[in-house]
Amino acid sequence: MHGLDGESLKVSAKFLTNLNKTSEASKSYNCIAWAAGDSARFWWPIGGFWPSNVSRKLVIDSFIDAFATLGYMECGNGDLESGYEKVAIYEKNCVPKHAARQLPNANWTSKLGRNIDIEHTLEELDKIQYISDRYGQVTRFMKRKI
Amino acid sequence: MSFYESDNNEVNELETSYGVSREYYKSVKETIEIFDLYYSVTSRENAFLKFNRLKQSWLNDVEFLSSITDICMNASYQEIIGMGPCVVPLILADLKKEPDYWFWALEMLTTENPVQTNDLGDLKKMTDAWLRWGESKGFC
Repeated sequence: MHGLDGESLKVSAKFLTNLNKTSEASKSYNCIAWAAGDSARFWWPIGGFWPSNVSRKLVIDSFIDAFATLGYMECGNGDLESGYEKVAIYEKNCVPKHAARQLPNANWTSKLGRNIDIEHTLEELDKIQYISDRYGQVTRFMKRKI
Repeated sequence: MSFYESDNNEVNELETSYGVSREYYKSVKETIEIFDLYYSVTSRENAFLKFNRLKQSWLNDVEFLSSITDICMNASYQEIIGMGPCVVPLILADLKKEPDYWFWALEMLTTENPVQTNDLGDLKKMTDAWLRWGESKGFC
């Protein structure tokens, strides 16, 4: 695909104004890093920062293992649990694309690629076609004690 | 000797190591030279414009992507790589202006990688490594 057509650009600008923005745009970190609590590096198994001794294959197991180094373990849902912090990992066609981190108020925080951070519910993100086309769906939840 | 000429030892190596016969080599060499001349004449004057057009297209496409794989496999990004080594100084100049994920392209174009493994993901450190590399080569 070469460039966004005019309609796509209008869509991207429009959906941004409807979101709860919580930071300015930054290329220094991505969604995986933000979900991991790191705003200084781009986390990605290929070409990015990745925890030592974790496979750099672009598969869900690598992401699960990466978050496991931070104390996360898989869990069944994204419901708010007292004493726990959760992350949600998105896949599209079985390829990891995005991660979000749960906030104490049960909402989630996501870094939109190289753009802004936002606060949202999982349903809100799913409803944005432009986003769900690129990020896919939540396939795994993980939690750790806080 | 032109870029596509090979001396006798190289032609021998083509044949013995890669199965490229002398006849095939001769038949294709001239066609390659004509093709390269055509594209170098028609594209050289537009390299700066083409790079900036493709760069803008790339930035638009990847604005909301977190996957370095997707960011660098983008069609416009790949077309920039397809412009060949002539685009390396343009990329380095752009990197100096504003750090961005040009590292995959630079590695493909130069077959070198000055970035330390420990610095992967650190945009500033990766940028600095490539700019130092560029300075050492006299590109920036």
